[in-house]
Amino acid sequence: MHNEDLALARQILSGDEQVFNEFFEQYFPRLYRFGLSRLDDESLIEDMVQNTMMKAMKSMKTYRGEASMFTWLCQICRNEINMHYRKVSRAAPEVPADDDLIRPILEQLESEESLISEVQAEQTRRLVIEVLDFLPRNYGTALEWKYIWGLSVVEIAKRLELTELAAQSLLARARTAFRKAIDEISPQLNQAGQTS
Amino acid sequence: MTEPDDNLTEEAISNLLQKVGPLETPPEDMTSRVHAAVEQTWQREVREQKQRRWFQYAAGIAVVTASIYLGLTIQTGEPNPPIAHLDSSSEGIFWSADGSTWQPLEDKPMTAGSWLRTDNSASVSFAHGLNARINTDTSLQLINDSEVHLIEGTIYLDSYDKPTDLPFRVSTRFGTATDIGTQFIVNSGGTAWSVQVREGMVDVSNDQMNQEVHAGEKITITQTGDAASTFVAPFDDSWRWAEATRPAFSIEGRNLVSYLKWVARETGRDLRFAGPDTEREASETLLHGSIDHLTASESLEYVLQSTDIRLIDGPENVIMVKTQISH
Repeated sequence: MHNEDLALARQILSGDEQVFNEFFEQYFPRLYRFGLSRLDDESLIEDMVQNTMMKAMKSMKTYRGEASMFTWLCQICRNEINMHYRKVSRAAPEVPADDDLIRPILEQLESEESLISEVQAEQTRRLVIEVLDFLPRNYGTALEWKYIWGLSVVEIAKRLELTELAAQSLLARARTAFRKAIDEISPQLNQAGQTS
Repeated sequence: MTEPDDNLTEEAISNLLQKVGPLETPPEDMTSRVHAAVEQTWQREVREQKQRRWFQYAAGIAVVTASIYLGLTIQTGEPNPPIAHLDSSSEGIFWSADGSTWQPLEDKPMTAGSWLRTDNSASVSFAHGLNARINTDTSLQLINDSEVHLIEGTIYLDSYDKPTDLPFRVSTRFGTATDIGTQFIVNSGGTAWSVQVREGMVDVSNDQMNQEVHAGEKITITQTGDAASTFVAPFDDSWRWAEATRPAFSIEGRNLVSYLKWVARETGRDLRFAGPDTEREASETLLHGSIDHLTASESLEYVLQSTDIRLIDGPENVIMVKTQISH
């Protein structure tokens, strides 16, 4: 049960503008990236993501917290995209998430050897971004700030209005969650990685 | 202090994320446009939520009042009134008070909470005018005069004669379809449900989605939440069973225009007159006799034969008529 997300849904429906804006700032960029992985037309991404968020607003009263808010939003977005492709009589492109794509990521995590060419492959990159976006609230952002932007723990703590210790703890939990999320994408490969 | 293993993991994650690079952010102009559109929807939804809460409060008072009335009614022995009646033969239609013990419908009252099961198709009309046609092999519960719970099978609804703006809902175990003045079919099967709209619009929702389905659309939603939309013409064969299960329609003393409009609605076609002369002629023509046991389509030529109006060739989705009298 995703109680925090359920509380968020209730606050949104109560009419709290600040909560609505935080919700938008948090989920719009993530849904945009979700759309980027599946569509190649910027205006179509805008339409799909806008429809998704508008439908989410209309259905917020039915959200029961059984899935995380982002998973729920992605399900709506996926339906929007599928319906778009059906309307134009084309099959939605398959989103690659096969073993060949995941293996380099796992290998990268298992060893220090560079796999630049594979990691730079756009599809793999998109998959890692998707993992970051699917992490619980703040985890993906903290990892991005720390390891992509190179912010210090002190700076992250300040941005998230946390103590330095709490920010360190958050980063540790975020790393564990990131690793776990990557592992869960392919349990079989993970098992092979552990036994090799 | 971090453990050595954690360091290694952190370094690997760090390397990987640096290679991934900064995450894309949506362009500012797109963000502004989407924010404005979503905010508008959100504000409308918040307003409606507040109204709903007010209505619930008002309904609460109404329930208390109704309870007092019901208490008095029970004391005086007045029965729970029927909310609907059968328009067609009761043969092959079964009734249950609890959904487990079934008896032939015959003259059992269709009260709120009662159950129906069909071996033959049936037409049921609610007291407020909504007509429901239940296909064969269907079971459902009449929740109240604004909701039916479809257990299994197929139901067609026509809210044309429903005078109120009160939405009518068909709930299934997968989700709910709410009509907004329309003709539509809901089917509930083992692993999926579908809503097919002939006219108007239906609001389809479950815990993962909320979508408006428009005329000509059919949406099928699996139990895992995958949705597929297809086009279904208002005169498609899939509507035929509903036409064949129509409630009685008396033509005696009715003018031809009124009858033709009914045929058009029953068959999902548009009605067009070849000119004002034809329309005037049709409005002045009064009909006699009966079209019992004929579908709307079957009755058309039969009825027109007794008039000076004839069918002329037109597009498939149109009933086009022309007078034979020259003015």
